[in-house]
Amino acid sequence: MALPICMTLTLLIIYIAFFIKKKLSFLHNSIVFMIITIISKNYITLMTMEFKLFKIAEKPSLFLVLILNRDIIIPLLIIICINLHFQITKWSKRIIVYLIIIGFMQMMDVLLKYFGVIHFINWNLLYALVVNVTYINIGLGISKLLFVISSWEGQRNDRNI
Amino acid sequence: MTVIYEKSFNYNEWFVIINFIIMLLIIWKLPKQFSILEGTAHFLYGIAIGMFFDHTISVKPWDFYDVNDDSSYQLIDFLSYVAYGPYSYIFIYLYKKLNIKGFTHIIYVLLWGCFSVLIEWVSIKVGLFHFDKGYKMYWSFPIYIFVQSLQIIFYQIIKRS
Repeated sequence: MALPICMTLTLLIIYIAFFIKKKLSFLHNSIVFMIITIISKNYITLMTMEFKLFKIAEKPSLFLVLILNRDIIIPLLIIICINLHFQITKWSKRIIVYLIIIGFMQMMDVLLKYFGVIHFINWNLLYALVVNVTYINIGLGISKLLFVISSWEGQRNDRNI
Repeated sequence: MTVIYEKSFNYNEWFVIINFIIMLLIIWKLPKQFSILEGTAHFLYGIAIGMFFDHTISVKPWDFYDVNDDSSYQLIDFLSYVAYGPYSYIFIYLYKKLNIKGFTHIIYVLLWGCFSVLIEWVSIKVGLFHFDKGYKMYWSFPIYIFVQSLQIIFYQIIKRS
């Protein structure tokens, strides 16, 4: 049950990420995507193998759910969030976007817990909320840095011409 | 349970560190072909893909092999994944420099697949990888040529966007 639900959600998120109007280029979005996947993989491996704050399911089908969440759902939600952030100028609307994205990430954590993909040991949904907010902040930080590097590189190329 | 292969700071750690430094120096010395962001994206690609496979098939439920001194996640493990970055950068650097076209793609990817397997073989000899849990090196070859082909597609999409 967990895998079909997660696969459906993954496909829906891929559709949304593919069709939303993007303010970041493909290159910018791919860099953010890769950095978030690197962070999420390390976060889960450290939490399970080193700190033992939660345990992951050893059943392969449930582990696939974790992989989908870790490597596709989380990074794509961050991509959706940052593209909407730069598209929307009103802060009230931006906050609504953050709340929806964080809500979705929290729902994923609840689903993972419900289906036994993750067993919390010294962990709870409040800590997970902190991690999800951190993902969004990292995504926003990287995207702003990428804009700075792009404009700096553009200026440098102009000077060379 | 954590499997310990050894505890000393020896060949495997030095291999990772020296290999990483030499590869970074090579990148530093090579004439620039990419923008900072494009180069970063190709560098990150290697890290993200390397981590994806190692954080998926070298952890439970599959747990096919171990990396470095024991089966836990250490700082040197992280560095060994980061060391994939220069390889993916040089792979695409040479691809652009040699102006690979048409059927030469097959030769280029196969040669890099062989080179990657050779590096993996050296890594086993120095104790970076431990395939004691049943993983066979011949499985790596199709994985390498698959991820390298994917990187060529990634490069082409960036070029056209």
